[in-house]
Amino acid sequence: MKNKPRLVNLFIAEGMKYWFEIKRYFFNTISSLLVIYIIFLVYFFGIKFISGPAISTNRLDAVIIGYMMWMLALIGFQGTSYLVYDEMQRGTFEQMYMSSLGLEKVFFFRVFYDTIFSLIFSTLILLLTMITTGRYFTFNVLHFLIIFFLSIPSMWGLGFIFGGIALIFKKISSFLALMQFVIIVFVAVDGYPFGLMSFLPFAAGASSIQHLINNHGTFPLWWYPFLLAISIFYLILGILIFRLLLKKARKMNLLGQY
Amino acid sequence: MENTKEPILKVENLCKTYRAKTKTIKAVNNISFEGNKGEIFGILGPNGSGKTTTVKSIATIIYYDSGTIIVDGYDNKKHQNLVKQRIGAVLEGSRNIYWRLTPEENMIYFAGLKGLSKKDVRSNIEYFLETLDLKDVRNKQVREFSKGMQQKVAVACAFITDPKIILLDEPTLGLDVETSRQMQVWIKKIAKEKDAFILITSHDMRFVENVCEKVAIIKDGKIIIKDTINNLKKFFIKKVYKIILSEDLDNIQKEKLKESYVVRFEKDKDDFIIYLTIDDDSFLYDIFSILAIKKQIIKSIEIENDDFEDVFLEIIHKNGVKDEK
Repeated sequence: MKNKPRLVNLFIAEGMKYWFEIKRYFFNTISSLLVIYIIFLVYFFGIKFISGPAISTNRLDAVIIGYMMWMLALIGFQGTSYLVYDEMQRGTFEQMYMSSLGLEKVFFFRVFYDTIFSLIFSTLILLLTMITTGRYFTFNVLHFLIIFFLSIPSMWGLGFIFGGIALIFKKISSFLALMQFVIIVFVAVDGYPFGLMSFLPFAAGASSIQHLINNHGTFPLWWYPFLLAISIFYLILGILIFRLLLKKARKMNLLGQY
Repeated sequence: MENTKEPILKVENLCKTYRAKTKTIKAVNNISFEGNKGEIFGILGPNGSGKTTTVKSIATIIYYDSGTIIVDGYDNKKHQNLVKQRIGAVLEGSRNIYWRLTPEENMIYFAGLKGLSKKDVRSNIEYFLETLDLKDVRNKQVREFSKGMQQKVAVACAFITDPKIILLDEPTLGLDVETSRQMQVWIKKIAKEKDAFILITSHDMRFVENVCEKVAIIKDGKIIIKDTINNLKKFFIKKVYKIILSEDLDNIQKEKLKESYVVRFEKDKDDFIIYLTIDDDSFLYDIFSILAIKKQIIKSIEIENDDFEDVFLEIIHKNGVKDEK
């Protein structure tokens, strides 16, 4: 083939495959969206019902935004970690590895589509929930997106680490499931204002989004590069560890074995 | 006549050892071979002989211990992505393709994995849909296909970007006889038209015999022999002569035959049968002279040839017998 390989073609191919699989696993997609919708409704009505009128509106909003952040963080994490597990179980991981543009790029594009899809649909469901319940959040969407995209790559980095571990230790699904609860900690701790907890992956980003939505808060200018620096740190760390574990898996002939 | 052009694949002194807690297995031990464009090369060997490790080392999936693998002039440890661009593979035991996608979508996706667009591979998609009889099912999901059809899609995906090297690890495993035979025709046709080097590992001797021009037989990680199929047959195929006599041989005659040949005696009703395995027809005169001692009447002589499977088994069991010739 005389044509030169181009990254944009991998990006398009990944997008095409992602969309077709969503369509073909239609029932699965619809049921997971429905679950999110029900969970949002439960938060709106359920917490008020259990806690009575004592729960403040701000507290309720914080819980809902917290849940959304946790969900998006989880998808960012699973995009790389669960991807390895899933592709190995399907028996297609070796073919994915054979991409001449590099395995990490395939991962990046998959996790990108995962994030975009989740962001769009969870926002739509949140909107639907707001219409259903008559309670509305108002916030600067652009500001939200900037903070979100500056901080979510740290979860991708964490996903790379666990993706690498999944290459070596095959029975990792329970451990990956356990990580959901660890990620709750990252979302729940006070990553903003600046403190030790701000260095945890996504913690600063999740707290900033809470601050933005609940208090219509603003941030000092240095906060944005800080969010980016944390993301870059975890992403580079994740890729380096992933490469190390990938080499080990190749030495042990583990890429195709499940 | 030596091939003077640079080989598209050069494997030199490849070694790979697997180390587990309790044991160490030398999977590949100093393997060397070359491959040229348009050639179909087979690697044969019993289970665990190192075939798949060799294939996966070439594909960069396995990190080998020592030796070099050069693909189209690129060292596959130093230039992994350039090497991957030049290789397509169908791997044994893997699903290889995405079952929720159609054959066409799979081909487009695999082209994307190598950085090529749908437009870049448009003519190849049509070619493979036509050549592999997939036109009627181009819009059906692969999960609805039989194993043979799925394997065809996997082969098409491996070839879709016109790679210079195609690795087919056990391509006929699990296929019925008819599909396996069709696969022979397709692979030969595609290899010729696409001018790629195709490396095949297989247990299916008939498939290898019909498809490959050259083979390497490996055992315990080492190449025992490497030659063209025709040469191997010439060197190793033996003829079995079935000589039917009206009277039995005496003991002296039998001993004389046993001294020099692989021989078996049987009695069938009134006939006395000698089965003689020989690799050179000129020995027949010697045999006739032994029979002439008592002048038994020869009722008939039939010849049965070994097939390539017998050749393979003989090489595996004798391990390097050609060098002793």
